Amino acid sequence: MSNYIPMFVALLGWAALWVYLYSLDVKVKRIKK
Amino acid sequence: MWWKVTILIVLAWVCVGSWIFPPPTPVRDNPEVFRIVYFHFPMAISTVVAFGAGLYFSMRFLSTREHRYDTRAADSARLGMIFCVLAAVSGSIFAKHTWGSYWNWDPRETSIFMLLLVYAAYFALRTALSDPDQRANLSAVYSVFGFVATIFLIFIMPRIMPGLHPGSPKPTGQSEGSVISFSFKTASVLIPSILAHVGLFFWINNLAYKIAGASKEQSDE
Repeated sequence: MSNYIPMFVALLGWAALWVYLYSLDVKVKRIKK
Repeated sequence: MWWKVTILIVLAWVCVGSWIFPPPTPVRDNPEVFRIVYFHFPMAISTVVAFGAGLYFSMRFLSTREHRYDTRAADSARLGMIFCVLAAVSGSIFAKHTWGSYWNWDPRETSIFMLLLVYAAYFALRTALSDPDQRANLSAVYSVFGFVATIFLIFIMPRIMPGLHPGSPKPTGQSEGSVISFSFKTASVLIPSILAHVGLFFWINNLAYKIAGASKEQSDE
C-alpha cells in the first residue's frame, strides 16, 4: 500500500489546484455581477 | 462548468493510470522513471499550444488594435514559459536516468533552452516599454517572430540534428531509452493527459484574462 503514496499525493495536489482554480472562477464571476 | 469537471476527472485518471500501469519502456537504472513522460510530453505540447495562442492573440491585436488581445497574448506567453520550464525540469529528471546526466546539451535540450531565452526576451521587451500602445505593438510583432522560432526550435532543429531524444535521426551514445513504444495502456493515459493539459492551459488563460478585467473594473470605480 505504501507504494501508492506518491499516487495519492499527486491526486491530492491536483484536487487542491483544481479547487483553487475553481474558487478563483467563482470569485471573478461574483465580482463581474 | 462541465469541461472543468471533465479536466478534473481526466487528470485524476492520469495520476492513477500513470501509477498503476507498468512502465512500458525500460530505462537504464530506474524503470519507474518512465512514468514522468505522462506529464513531460503533455507539458511540451501545452508549451507549443500556449505560444501558438500567443501568436493568435498577437495577430488579433495587430488587426483590431484592441488591448484585450495584447493582455491575452502576454498571458499565453507567460503560461507557455511555465509549461516550458516544467517540461524542461521533468525532461532533465528523465534524462538523468536514461542518459546519465541531468543536462546533456542534446539538440532538444539546447532548443528548449533557446526557446526560453526567446520568450524571456519577449518579457524583457514588454517591461522595457512604458507606453501601452508601443508595448502592445512591438510585443505583438515580436510574438509572431517568436512563434516562427518556436516551430524551428521544437519541430525542425531536433529532427535534423543527431541526438539522444526520441525523434532525432540517429541516436548517439547510450540510446536504449530513446526509443519509446506506445501500447494501448500507455496511449490510454498519455492521450487524455495531453488533452487535459491543453484544456488546463485554456482554463488558466481565460481565468487570467477575467481577473485582469475584473481588477481593471475595480480600479476604474
